[in-house]
Amino acid sequence: MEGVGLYVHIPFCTSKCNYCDFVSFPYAMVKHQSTDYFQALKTEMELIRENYGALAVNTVYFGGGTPSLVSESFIDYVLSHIRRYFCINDDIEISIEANPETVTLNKFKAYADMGINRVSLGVQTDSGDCLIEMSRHHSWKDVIHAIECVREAGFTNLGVDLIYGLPGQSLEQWENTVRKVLEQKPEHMSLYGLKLSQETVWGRLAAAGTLTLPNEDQQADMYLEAQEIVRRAGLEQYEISNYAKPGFQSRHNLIYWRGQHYLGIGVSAASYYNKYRWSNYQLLSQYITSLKDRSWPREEMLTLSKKEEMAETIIMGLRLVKEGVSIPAFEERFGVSMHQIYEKEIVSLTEGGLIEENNRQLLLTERARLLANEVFREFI
Amino acid sequence: MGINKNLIRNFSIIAHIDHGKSTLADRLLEFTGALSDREMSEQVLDSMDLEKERGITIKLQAVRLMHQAMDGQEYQLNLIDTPGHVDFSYEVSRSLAACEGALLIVDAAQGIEAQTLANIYLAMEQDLEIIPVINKIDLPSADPEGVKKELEEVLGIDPQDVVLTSAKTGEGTQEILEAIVKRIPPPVDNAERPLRALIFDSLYDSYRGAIPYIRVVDGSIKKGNQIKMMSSGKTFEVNEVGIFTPAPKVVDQLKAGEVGFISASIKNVKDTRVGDTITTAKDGADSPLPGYRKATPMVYCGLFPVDNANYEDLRDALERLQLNDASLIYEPENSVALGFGFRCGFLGLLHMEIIQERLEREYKIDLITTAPNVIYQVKTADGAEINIDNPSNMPPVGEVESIGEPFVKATVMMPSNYVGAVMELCQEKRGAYESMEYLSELRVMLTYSLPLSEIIFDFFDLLKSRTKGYASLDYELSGYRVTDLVKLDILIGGEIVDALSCIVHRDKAYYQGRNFTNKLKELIPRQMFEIPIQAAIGNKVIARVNIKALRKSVLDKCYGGDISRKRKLLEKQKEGKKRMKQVGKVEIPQEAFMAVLSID
Repeated sequence: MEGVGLYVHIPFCTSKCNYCDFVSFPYAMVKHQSTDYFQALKTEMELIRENYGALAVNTVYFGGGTPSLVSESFIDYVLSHIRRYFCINDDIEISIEANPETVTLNKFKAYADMGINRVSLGVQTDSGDCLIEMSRHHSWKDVIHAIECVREAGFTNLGVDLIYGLPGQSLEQWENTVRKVLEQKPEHMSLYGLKLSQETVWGRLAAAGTLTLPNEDQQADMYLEAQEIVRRAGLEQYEISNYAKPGFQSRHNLIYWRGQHYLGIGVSAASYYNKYRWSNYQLLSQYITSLKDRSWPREEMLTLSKKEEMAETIIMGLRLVKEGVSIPAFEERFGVSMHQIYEKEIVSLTEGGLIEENNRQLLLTERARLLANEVFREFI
Repeated sequence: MGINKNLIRNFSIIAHIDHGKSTLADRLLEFTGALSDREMSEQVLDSMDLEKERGITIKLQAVRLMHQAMDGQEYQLNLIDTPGHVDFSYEVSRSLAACEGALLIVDAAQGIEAQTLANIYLAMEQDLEIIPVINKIDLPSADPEGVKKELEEVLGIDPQDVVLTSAKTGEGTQEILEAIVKRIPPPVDNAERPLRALIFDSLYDSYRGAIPYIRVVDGSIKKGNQIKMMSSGKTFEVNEVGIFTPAPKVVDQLKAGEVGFISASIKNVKDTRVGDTITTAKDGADSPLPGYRKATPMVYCGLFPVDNANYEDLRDALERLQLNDASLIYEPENSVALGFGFRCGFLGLLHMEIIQERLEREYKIDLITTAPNVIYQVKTADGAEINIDNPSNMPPVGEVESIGEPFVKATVMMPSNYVGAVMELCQEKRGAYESMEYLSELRVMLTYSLPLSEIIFDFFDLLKSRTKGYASLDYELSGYRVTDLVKLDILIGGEIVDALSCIVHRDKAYYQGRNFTNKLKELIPRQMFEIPIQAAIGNKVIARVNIKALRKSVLDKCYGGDISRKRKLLEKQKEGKKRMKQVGKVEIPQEAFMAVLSID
């Protein structure tokens, strides 16, 4: 059985970071709805079980929000129901996102006992001033402490998230941040260039001209510098923004990039199953009420045409910079050769030095990683 | 049968833009019951969407109103609506040719405008009876007495003859109708003469063919008549005769003095030539009716389909547009950069904009428009004289002895406190002062001689913005003069893009070259390689900017919920790219070709 990845959204935060456009709510305001929320998650799992049977689940990922903010008993509650309604094997990867200030040894020991085996720590930057400007509530010392706890609790699979292109950030500062994190020897790193949407606090400030950000060229320089530094430290770049020691790639995220199936439960969670893509309600009460009525909390549902599925497979697969898109696998899945459908595009992109074929894989060239959208557009 | 000739009145309304001509026309329709309140939608006569949107009149429309006058008799009043913009004096003269009188509308707050004068002169040329009307008397800033004085001083109009009205409130509407009845003469009684009807407009209907709008001057015309077009000699049989109420309505016949339309299965539009005379096939009239002022295109531009495959569609569309707009001229043109398209001639910038919009909107063709230009008279070194209507056809510098450009006599009217600003603007645009006249204590008329090429850019917009909208402009061609002109070439990625070449005055070349290249840098998006943009005169590069290569174009985060959104974003970007033109390796957006027009 192929199996799916399972994503669980925990939409609670202490406060909203100024650049964040994920769906989350200040915990203090909605705490009274926590129990209802987790029960709703359970009901959603029941609906899945009723409609799709006992699916095999290969990965679980707790994202948010700040999953590490809520009591570990809630996480336990979810995991025990996952075990009840799905088929889990021993090899399963269970990840949880955490913010440094919410990490305690006890909590993480509890996580380990529950079977969680991967932690993704939201560090973003080491600059105290910047963290304050972002409205985050930790310091670099907190980061060190958090990592110590995580290791002591027994986790051997730690990922750290960083953001570059922050207001006032220079190339030197960024290089420094990356090196400092590498000293802590994480198994995995995700490096994201700051991208602001209009709905965020920083987004509005930038639009009004009161926030100065590094420009596109500077972001490109930061990307390339980091790429070099991280690679030399022994982490392999496997995706446009993701690096890992061999064997420590995020198996859950690979599901997205490999075009495999996944179910997302919770507010705003997205799913891809059986040629459908859907996403859940974004409002907490709406989500909870829907499941109290035992109806799907789906906001948007799309049926994908074959052409759309093919395009998505390619644009996601090309993000895997070493693995690329497997040509034989594509043909097996869609019953038609990639070259047949995209002959013109492949030829012109190859001539332009943006993609290459290697061992029956279609890959972005190194030069094309920063310009990937220019490539992806051709396959739409 | 039918109405007594003496009870017919044919008239036009002429006025400056926004002085309320269309609203007044609506009031007349309403008052005479041509439309019930229910049918009245604002400004009915401006039936084209584009007209309604921009609040301007482009096409003529002829409407028959039946009015019960105070003397108890019922009169047939034929109103012909006219455009007010400086571009369309051709249309104005056509409608005036079909009338015996005209309402001259002047805004009670603004007074006489340049356009007003221009049309008065046109009406006088046709010997029409002028009824002066001061409109918008409801406005707080209205100064009817002051305007009456202006009319007397400038045009010799007797203040006693002036009718005061407010088209908005309807006040004065009846007085106007009475004035029309009393003062405008009935058409000359030529019912017994052989048929002569003037074609003053036409419409193309895909089922019925070309529909000429006519004014019957002599004789009468009815269904079944065999008619002849006097210019070509071709004959047709009339299947239908009608009038506009304003909706079309079939009638038995049109008699001398009346205005309406006919349908005669005229398949080929070229057979209804506006300005032509219709007579009977047998025993027809000896000589045609006098023609009227012909339209001269003043402004040219290149029109190219973004997608070369649409060339035929563009050609067909231009053909159809020309059916209803004889002043539009076009001929095929080929550009190295843009492929096959057309060089089109217009009466002015507004005319050009309207045609463009109609092509994009009604015929759904994505267009690239090259910057408008005028016709240059070039004397070559070997003594030949050629006319250049396309800058890229300018012979190389070595072969050119002199270049002459068209000049206009421009009349600008403005409140006296703006005189300085206007004089400065005219000077900037290479104008030469001719005269200044105080129309009244507070209003001044300036006459300047200006190169037409300076007018067709942004002169009108700049004039309006620097005088807070109070100035008005009229101009007419006054001949060619040799000036120090050079051809400015634009190179993108090292190659000359012929569609971007323009002719500029040598003194302005550096400035415009820099301006142009900077504007292009803003408009052309970054691409996978560096793009040099240069402005050159002959071999000499006079300005250069570089567009850096694209460095980052990627979505850093792409997880479960992002995938469909990302695909949609890429789809949208792809659509946007389709509207760009590839010149060499560089993708250039449509707007870039008009970049030279940007107001600095």
